[in-house]
Amino acid sequence: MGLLPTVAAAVEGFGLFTGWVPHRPDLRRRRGDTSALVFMLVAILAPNAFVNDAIGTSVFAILGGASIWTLLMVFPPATAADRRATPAIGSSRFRRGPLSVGLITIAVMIAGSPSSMATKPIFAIVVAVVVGACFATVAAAFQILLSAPITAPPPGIWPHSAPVGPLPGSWPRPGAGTPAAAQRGRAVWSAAPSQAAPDNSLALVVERYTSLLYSTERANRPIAEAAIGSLYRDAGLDPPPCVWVRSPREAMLAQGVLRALAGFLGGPAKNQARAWQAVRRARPHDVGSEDWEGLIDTLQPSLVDVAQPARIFAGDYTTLAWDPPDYTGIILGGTNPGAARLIQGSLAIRTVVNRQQAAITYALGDEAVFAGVHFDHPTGLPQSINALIVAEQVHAQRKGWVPLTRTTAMVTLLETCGGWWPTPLAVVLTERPIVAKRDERGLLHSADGPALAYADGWRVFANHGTPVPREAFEHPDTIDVSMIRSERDDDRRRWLIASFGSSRYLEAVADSLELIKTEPNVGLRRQAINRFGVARFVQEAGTVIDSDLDGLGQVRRLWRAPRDRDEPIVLVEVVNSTPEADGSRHHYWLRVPPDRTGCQNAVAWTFGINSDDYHPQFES
Amino acid sequence: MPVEPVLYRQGDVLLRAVDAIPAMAKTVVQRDGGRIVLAYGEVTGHAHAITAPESEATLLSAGENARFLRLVADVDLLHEEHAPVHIPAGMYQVIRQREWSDADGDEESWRYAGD
Repeated sequence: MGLLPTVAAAVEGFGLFTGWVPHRPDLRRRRGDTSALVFMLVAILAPNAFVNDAIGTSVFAILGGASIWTLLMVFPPATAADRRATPAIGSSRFRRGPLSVGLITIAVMIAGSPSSMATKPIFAIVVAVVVGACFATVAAAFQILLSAPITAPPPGIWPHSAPVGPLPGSWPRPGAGTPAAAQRGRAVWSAAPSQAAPDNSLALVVERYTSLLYSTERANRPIAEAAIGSLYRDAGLDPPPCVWVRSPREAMLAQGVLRALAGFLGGPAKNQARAWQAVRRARPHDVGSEDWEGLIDTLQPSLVDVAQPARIFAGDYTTLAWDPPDYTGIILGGTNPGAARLIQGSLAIRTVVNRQQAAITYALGDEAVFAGVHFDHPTGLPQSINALIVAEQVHAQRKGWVPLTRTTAMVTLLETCGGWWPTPLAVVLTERPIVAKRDERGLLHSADGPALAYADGWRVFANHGTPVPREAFEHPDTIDVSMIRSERDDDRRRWLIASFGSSRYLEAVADSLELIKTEPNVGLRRQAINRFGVARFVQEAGTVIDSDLDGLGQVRRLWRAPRDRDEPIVLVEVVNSTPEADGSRHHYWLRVPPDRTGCQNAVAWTFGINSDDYHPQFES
Repeated sequence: MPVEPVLYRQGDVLLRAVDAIPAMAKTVVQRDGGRIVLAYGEVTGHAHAITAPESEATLLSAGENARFLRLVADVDLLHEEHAPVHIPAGMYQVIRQREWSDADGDEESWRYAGD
């Protein structure tokens, strides 16, 4: 056997094993191409070196088989999923390449091989295919031994299972619905690593995320549950069952139910039926029996096999989402010039998220602490941390990185359902609201009905991002001054005042010295004092801090009335030097700066004269 | 040693004797019924006014808060509710009484007091 076929075999073998790079389809294809080309050159040049050599014939057969196998592995037959994700895979261009290379290789091999083989071409092809199959078997065995996946890319990489393209109803932007718009959406969420996101992608991402927070699409339960599964498996955990509820309120109650169930299963009740009975009896006194029983009826069928103690006590599920890496730090630590914009985008989303969380917490009211359930994330986990996910996703796309399984799954969840909460027994997932309204700034808002409404009838009322009480919203006539006065949140108080009638409220406050003194809004209090009368206010709420006689012997008094969180009101009271027709004298009240301490320097200030210099020659 | 300024007051108007009137000050030609009105009352329509021919008394203005009176002869400052104030010939700055205002207590701002 000559030197050349040996080299050819070595090259082919090298290409065979190094060309197959799991997880990296891009490298795999390039190296496969290279080795196939090198092999063809060798195959063309080699025959002259060992004509009529029986060993040479065998080597040709082996090389031919190896070549066919390599090409097949490099361009594996496309699956249906591949074709959906990348239409080009199904095109004839992709299939024709490997096929023609393979045929040319066989033809060259036959034409250049020893004459004995040339006369029996069919035999040569059969030998090549058989030997190729042997090669494939050996190589597959090697890869199994090395525990490397052969065909399936790791889940969540590409193409991933999340629905691509815009969600109906949550992508209402200019040009939406056109192929170009759909392509932009895909470029952000499901692009191949080589496709860099366009520069305006951040604005689109912010809009898309905030839109998702206001989506009223029905949840896609199978895909959401699959994402939960991949999330848990990624964390090395067995996925627990998923239970579905209709609103954040039900989600909160469900967590109370699950908590009680876990307690009974781990403690006194040894079998599941008895544990459920105990849960039914354990209804908290502040939860209606209809709510409690109804929820148990919903949850119980989904939780038939939760009695394994191991799963109950696997507390490490929390690491799934409560310990996100510091992506912000990673981005800031790099040299990405868009880092600041990324952070801004994250903050923009976070603002909307925080407002929505606050609104839901407010609407839950006292129930939010129900049964001691941890309910720090009233809108569910993905919404709580999505600012970080956005930063990571966008950054990853720009860098050509492949997103993590975990973040991909979380994005999928955000795209397919409402909030979700992992608990030891089950993951609680919610449907989306059936009504979700926002103002032009993207804040929860509706002036003529609930801003959020859920299928179970639970509703949230909000005014430009500020949650407001349901009773006051639906029956504004129940708003009174004492309700306004007991409201501690400034924004909500403003809304109450506006609903009550701001001039009506001002009148009510200006009518009472006590209400004026306790009015928390400084500007409103000033208006109320003006309406009440500044002089009257100072006489009723203040004290005389100085008194003397003016140049005409009339009494002057300096009054001072303190105000909470505002400068004191200081007035100098002067008496008209000329008596009225009836002999009485007019009193004038002159407002002076709060730092005046005596009548003299107060009056001098009103004319802009130095206190010591103010001694008129004549006055009247 | 600084000399204490010469001041005449009638209600909320103060006249302060000055040595000179700024050259930029322009004569205020407008009169009300032949009178020089230094200030009107906000509500009553009463006025602090000088009844004197143009040759004897001139009002000049160098800006909103800088008005001056040039008196060639002695005049009386009159007001419906106040005793007349006799003003000797001379040059005066016309100062209106001001009040501290609440709305902008943060900055030094004021408005005129009205009778």
